[in-house]
Amino acid sequence: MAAEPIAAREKKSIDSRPWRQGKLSSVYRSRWFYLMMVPGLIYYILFHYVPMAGTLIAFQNYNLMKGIWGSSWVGFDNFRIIFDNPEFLQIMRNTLIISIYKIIGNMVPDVILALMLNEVRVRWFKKTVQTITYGPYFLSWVIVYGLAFSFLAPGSGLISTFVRDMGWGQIDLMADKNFFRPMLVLTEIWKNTGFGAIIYLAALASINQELYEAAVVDGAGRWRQLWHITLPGLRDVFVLLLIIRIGGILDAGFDQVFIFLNARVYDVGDIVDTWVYRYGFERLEFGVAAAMGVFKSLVGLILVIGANKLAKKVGGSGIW
Amino acid sequence: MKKLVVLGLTAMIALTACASGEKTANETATASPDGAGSPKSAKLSLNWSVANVFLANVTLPSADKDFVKKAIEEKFNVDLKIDYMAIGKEYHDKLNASLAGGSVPDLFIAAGAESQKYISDGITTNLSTFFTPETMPNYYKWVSKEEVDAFQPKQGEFTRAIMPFQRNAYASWYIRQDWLDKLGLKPPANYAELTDVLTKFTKGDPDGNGKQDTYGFTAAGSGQSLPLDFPQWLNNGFVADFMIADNTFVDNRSDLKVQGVIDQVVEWNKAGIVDPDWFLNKSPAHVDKAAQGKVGMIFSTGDKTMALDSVPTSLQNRTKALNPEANWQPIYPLDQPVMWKNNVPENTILVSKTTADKSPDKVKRSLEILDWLTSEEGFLLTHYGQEGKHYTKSGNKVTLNVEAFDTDIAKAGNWLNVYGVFTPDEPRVLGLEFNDPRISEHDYAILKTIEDYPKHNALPPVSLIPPAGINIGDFRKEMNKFHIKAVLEDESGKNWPQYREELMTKFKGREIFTEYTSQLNASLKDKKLNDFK
Repeated sequence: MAAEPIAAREKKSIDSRPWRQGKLSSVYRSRWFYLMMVPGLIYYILFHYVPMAGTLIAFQNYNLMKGIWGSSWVGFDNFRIIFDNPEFLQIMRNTLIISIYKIIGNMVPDVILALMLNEVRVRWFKKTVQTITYGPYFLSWVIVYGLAFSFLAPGSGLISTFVRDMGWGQIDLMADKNFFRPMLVLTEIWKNTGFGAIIYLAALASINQELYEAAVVDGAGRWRQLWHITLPGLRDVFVLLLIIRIGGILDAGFDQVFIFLNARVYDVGDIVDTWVYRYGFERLEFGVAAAMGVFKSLVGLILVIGANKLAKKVGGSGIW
Repeated sequence: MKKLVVLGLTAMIALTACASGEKTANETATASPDGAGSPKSAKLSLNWSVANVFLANVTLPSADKDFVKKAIEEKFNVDLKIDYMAIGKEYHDKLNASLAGGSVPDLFIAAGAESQKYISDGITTNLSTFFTPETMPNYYKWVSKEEVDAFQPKQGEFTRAIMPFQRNAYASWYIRQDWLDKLGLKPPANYAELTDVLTKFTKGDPDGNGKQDTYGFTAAGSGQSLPLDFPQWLNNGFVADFMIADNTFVDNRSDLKVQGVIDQVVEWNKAGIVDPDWFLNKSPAHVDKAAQGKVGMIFSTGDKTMALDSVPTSLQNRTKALNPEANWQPIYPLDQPVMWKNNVPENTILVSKTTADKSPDKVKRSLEILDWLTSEEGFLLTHYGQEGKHYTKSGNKVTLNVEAFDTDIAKAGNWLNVYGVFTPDEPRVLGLEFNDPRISEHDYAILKTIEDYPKHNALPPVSLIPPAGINIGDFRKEMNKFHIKAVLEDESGKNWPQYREELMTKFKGREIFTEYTSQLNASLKDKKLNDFK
């Protein structure tokens, strides 16, 4: 991708033909690459851009039978319903808190695991640990919930039974308001850290080994190398992932929260997506659900642009 | 090489596109209505979605073993695709997702409350021309025209058919008789005795393993609610979900007297006689625990097979597999005059408006199949299997061939239940007498006991609909939240009056139930209920 504009620029400086023509011929020269892009483009157009037209229903009193063309237009009424809803502030607060917990609680362990694996010199051990840690990524949340339940169920859970048998009293962590959000973060760390570390391992592999050799010559120890070479080498990937995650800050993980939620923790666990699910799929009020979706996307877009600008200002590189 | 790769990729994509295009074209051809000629002249593809309480652990066999599907497809010249699931929130969520995706099943089942939304959104069609006693003679053997009429959300319109339902209600608590015997206890007959028995079930080591690892009672709250399984509801005079008491409509779960229920549940919780997992248990986890010998008493609203020896998958047999001494018996452990309500129509049969508009033939064919399924031939095939193989019939007497039935059906995923959803297991309605050689004297006695528990008609046959723009689901969600808050956090019913007032005002309970009262008054005619307070 990055090669294209450079090629074009070079061409422009040496060629006296008009810019447009130069561009066209450069496209023609790389036509096979462009052709290879076509399937990807078609995918994005079909599955990501065409459905955007569906956001129109955010401004409609949408009826399944009448469809987009037949449903009546209601202007910003659906948005008014959302912002007037007494639950709105609470679900926004829950979503943001859970998301921020997850961003912090998820990105740091990924890096740490990658760094630790990177230091392991015994190949078979490294491979084994890597396989074990990224196994849980492929489990569905339903199974993770089942596992959490068998550890934490107040009556029959392994940990609860242990606590009770030790005479430390009865615990009910799955229905505990104070423990619900930490539990979401902990289970997510358990499930996703191994997989997240792979990206950082790839970034670590791309760090120029000569830098380490030079550092050793200069007398730098392991920690110094980590601080001056490894971490700066990971910075770009870290920032990139951070920006992507900030864009999805209003996605606090529907599958997980939906499965873990119960009536005692609604106050701390009800998030935007579970609310959208209730409105869209349980009450069939698609207009309101879509309006919430539009609102979410707008917030996400603003945050991504903001985070990107900030990243450029602070560190010099962003996504674009 | 590069060119080859690119060409290969492009060709693959083009082919995939063609392939799916061709399929759609084919489907359209089969699906297109054939206005002229006999209704069975063209093969139709039908898409149904069915649900009831007996579909929890059911799987259809492969097509060659599915003799019901084969019979339907041959008899009616159709290609029948049938989706099935246990009825409940997840079923409706799944149905809603497919409705949102624009694919409405040609014929589908929905619970009463959900059907109202489908009807008001215009997803379903008017059935009055399709569903007459002339076109559906067999269906009307199970429900009467009057019942169907009274069941309509708007009087004078016919938008939903009643799913034929079991007239006998089989609600019952079940208790471990062998535990009672072991501890030398009498079956409890009132609340105080029950509490005493359950306490001994918890503390007296009834399974004799030397550990205190059993509980008196459990239920499945699914992380959402305080289920009606708790005998405290009935002990405070609340029979099932709705009733009329002192000439007033009562929504049992949000009544002021629920305070007493909460207080008594809290007492049990504090005494440690209820399995602490009851709130997070998702059904049927509570039955599993009972089968594991961890619990001495549970409740079931309608599964009459719980304590039967003759059903291989019954709670009785599952418990016996671990402990041959186990003996579950139905019990009515309270001294209240009425235990449960008589069954009323709850689930509905709906037909897609899109199908009715685009290909009315599909509707006709679907309903022909439905009528056949409710006929004697259909009923026998979908409940007992093939004549001569799974059962024999002489006159009106049907005798099950247990071995063949077990091998081909019961142990092969109990799949007949999928097609049997449209009729309850009540052969008497069709004048048949069913003889199951497995059912012993012991089982007959149990069934008789459950059938004889005192029940009442909770409400006159009318469908209650909340006022326009109010969602009863929101009200119930808050109500459940308050129940749980009172039981598990406040650990007392003292705040209930205040919670209840919030439910009645902020969450519009009073508006909803005032509307229900006036709908009931409209159908009662001769008498008038007091205003809802």
